[in-house]
Amino acid sequence: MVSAVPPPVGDPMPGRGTGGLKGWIANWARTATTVLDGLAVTMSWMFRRPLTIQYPDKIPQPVQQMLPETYRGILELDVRLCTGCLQCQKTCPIGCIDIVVEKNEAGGRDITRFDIDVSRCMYCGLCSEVCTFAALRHSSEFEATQPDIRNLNLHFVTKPVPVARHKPGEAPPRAPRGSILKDVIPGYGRRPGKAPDGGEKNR
Amino acid sequence: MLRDVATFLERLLGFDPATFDYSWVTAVVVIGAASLLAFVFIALFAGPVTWWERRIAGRIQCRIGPNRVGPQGVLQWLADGIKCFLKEDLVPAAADQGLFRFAPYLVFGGYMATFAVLPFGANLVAADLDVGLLYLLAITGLVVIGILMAGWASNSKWALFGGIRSAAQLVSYEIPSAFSLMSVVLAAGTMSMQGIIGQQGAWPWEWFVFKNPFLFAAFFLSLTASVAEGNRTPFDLPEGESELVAGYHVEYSGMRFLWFMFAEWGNLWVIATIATVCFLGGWQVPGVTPAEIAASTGLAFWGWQALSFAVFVAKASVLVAFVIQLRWTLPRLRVDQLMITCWKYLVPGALLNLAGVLVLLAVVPDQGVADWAIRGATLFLGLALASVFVWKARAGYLADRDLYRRMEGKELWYPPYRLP
Amino acid sequence: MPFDFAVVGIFLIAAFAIVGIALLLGRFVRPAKPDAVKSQTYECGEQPIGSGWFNFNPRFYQLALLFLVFDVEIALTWPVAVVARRWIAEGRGLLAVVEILLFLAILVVALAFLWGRGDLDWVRDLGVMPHEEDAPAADAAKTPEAE
Repeated sequence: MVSAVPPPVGDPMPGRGTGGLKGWIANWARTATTVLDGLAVTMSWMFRRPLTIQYPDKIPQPVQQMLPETYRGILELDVRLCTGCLQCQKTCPIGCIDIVVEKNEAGGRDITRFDIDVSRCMYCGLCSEVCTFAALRHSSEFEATQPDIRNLNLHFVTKPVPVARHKPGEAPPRAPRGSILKDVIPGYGRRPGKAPDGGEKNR
Repeated sequence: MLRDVATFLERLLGFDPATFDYSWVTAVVVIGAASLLAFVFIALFAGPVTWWERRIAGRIQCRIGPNRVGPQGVLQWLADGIKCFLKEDLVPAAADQGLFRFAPYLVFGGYMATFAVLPFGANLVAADLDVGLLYLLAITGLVVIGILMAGWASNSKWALFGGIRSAAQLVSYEIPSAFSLMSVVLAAGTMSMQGIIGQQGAWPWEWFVFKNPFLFAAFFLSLTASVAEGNRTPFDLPEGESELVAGYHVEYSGMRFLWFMFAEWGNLWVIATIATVCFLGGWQVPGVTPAEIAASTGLAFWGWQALSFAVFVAKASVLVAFVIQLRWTLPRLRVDQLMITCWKYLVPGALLNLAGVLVLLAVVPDQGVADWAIRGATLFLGLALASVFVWKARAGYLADRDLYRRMEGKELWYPPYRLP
Repeated sequence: MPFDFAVVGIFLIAAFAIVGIALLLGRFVRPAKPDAVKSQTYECGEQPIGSGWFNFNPRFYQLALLFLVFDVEIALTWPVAVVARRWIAEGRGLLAVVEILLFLAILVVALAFLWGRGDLDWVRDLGVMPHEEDAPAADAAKTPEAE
C-alpha cells in the first residue's frame, strides 16, 4: 500500500546543495504524491474496526478472562501446594513476601503466615519462577483499587495450614486462576472495598 | 439583507421612513441581533466540531473517541465548556496584567469580525462588503496582534517563543494565501464574497476550482496557506506540545483559555468558508440562478434561503472533514521547514500560478470552446485525482482485510456510521 | 456602504462584549484562590529563571520586513486584479497582463535576490563575517611576535 518514497531531494537553493530547479519541481511532486498516499492510508483506517476495549462497562466478558495466560497480574497462592520452602521470600528483590512457618504439636510444620504486599510488588515474576510446586502463580487479576493501602497486604493464610507433602503425581490440581484471590482481596467484586479497621484512611 | 430587516422593523413599529430620524437605532438593534446569531452559530459549530474531530482522530488511530457524554458523546464539548467556565482564572504574578487579560478579546474579536462578511446562503450575509476578500485577509491581522500580545504579556519563555513563532508563521503564510486568492479575484473581477459566488455556477464544471488547472492548483495552495494561518497541524508548531508545551497560551487557564480554543476551532469554519466561496461555488443551488432567488418572495424566498444554506453547509462540512483528516495524517513540520515551505515553495508557486491564471484569462475568451475544453480537462483531472485516492484507500483496506479475518475471526469492515 | 461598515464595527464590539460578559459571569461561579505557587510562571515545574522578556532572534525582524514588502505589493496588486477582467473584456488585455506581470516580476527578482543571499534560510550558515575576513592573516602575522 505505502509506496516506496524516494529519498528527499536536497535543498533546492541555487548554487548550494544538490537541488536546483529540478529538485524544486521534484519536491513539489513528492509533496503531492506523499500527501495523497497518506490521506488514502488514514481514509482506509476510517473503515476498520476499532481495537478499543471499553473497560469497564461495555465489554463482552470481564477483561481478566481476555488476558493471555502469561499475563503477570496479582500474585496468587494455592496454599494446598505450598511446601513452605521460603524460596519465593528469598528471591523477592523487594521483600514483599512475608512467610512464617512454625512447628506444630504433631511434629510437622504449619504455615502460620503468608502475606504478599501487592502495593510493593513489582510483578517481576521471580517468585513464581522459583516455586517448584506451582503454588505461587500470577493471576490475571489487576484491579487493585482500595481505600486503604494496608488492604493490599494480602493474607493468604488466616489459620495455620500444614505444609504440603505430596508424592509425585498425587498433588491436587491447582485451583483455577483467580479463584483464590476472590476470598483474599478485601471487598472483591464490590468496589471500593472497606478499610480493614473500618474506614480510617491511610494518608 | 440586514438593512431590509431594519426597514421592515421600522415599518412594523409604525415609524414613517420619511420623518423617522433615528433609523440608526433600529439598525444597531438588528445588527446586534445578527451578531448574536453569528455567535450562536460559532458556538454551535466550534463546540461539536471538537467532538467530531476527536471521533475522526479516534477512528484513524484505531480507537473510538469520546462516546460517553450524551448519545455517542455529542455533548462532550458542552462538558468541556462548562468545566472551563468553572475553572479558576489564573494570571501569573510576573505577567503584564492588563495585556494578559486583554489578549483573548483581540483573538476572538478578530475571529468573529470575519463573520460579518461570510455568506451562509443566497441572502444570508450580514454585510456584503465590496472589499470582502481583502477585508477577510486584513481583519485576521487582529488575531496576530492578539497572539503576539498573549505571548509577550505572559512573561514566560514558552509563551514568548510560541507567540513570535506564531506571528512569523501567520504573516508568512498570508503571502501565498493572498496571492492564490488574488487569482480568484482575477477570474471573478470582484472582491465581494457574493459577487465571487455569483460569477460561478451551481454545477462543478462552473466552479472556479475546475475553471483551469492553475485555479485548481490555487485551490490547494490557498487551502494549505489557510490551514497554516489557522495554526493547525501540520503547521501547529507555535503550540507544539513536545517543544513549547502549549505555545502562546501556556499561562492561560479556564475561560480565558477557552476563548483561544474557541477562535482556533471556529477558524475551521472560516477556512472552509473561504475555500467554498472562492472555489467551490458557494451556496449555489443547481437549477436556479441567484437572480431568480432574489426575485422570489414569501415562503419561496425563505425556502431558497434554507436550501442554499444547506448546500453551503454541506460543501463546507466536506472541507472541514478534509482539513481534520489532514491533521491526523501529516506530522508536524520543523520550524525551518515551515519557513522554507512558505518562502521557497508556496510563495514562488503562488506567483507562478497567478501569472498562469492571468495569461490564460487574457488568452482564452470566456465561455468559448477553448474555455470549456479547459474546464472539462480540469474537471477530468480532479475526478482522476479523486479516483486514485479512492482506489488507494480501497487497496489499503483490502490488503489487510483477509489477514484480519484470519487472525481475529471478525470482519474488518466497520464504517464510520456504525457507531460503537 | 456606511451600513455595511457599521455591521463590521458592531460585530467587533459584540465580540468584545461577549468575551467580557462570559468572563464576568464566570467570576461569580469560579473559585479565585490565588497563591504564590499557582501564580508562578510555568517553566516545566522548575523555579523560573529570570524574566520571560529577553532578546529573541533578529531573524524575526527580517521576516517582518520581508512580509511588509510583499504585503505592500499585495495591497497594490489587488485593485489591478479586480479591474483586470474588465480590461480584458474591453480589449486592453495585453496592458493588464503586462502591467501585473511586470509588477510581479519586480517581486520575483527581489525574492530571487533574497533567496540567493540566503535570507530565506531559517538555519543560517553565517560563514566568515565580513569583519573577520582579514582576521586569520592578522593573527598569523601577530603570533610570532606574541611568542
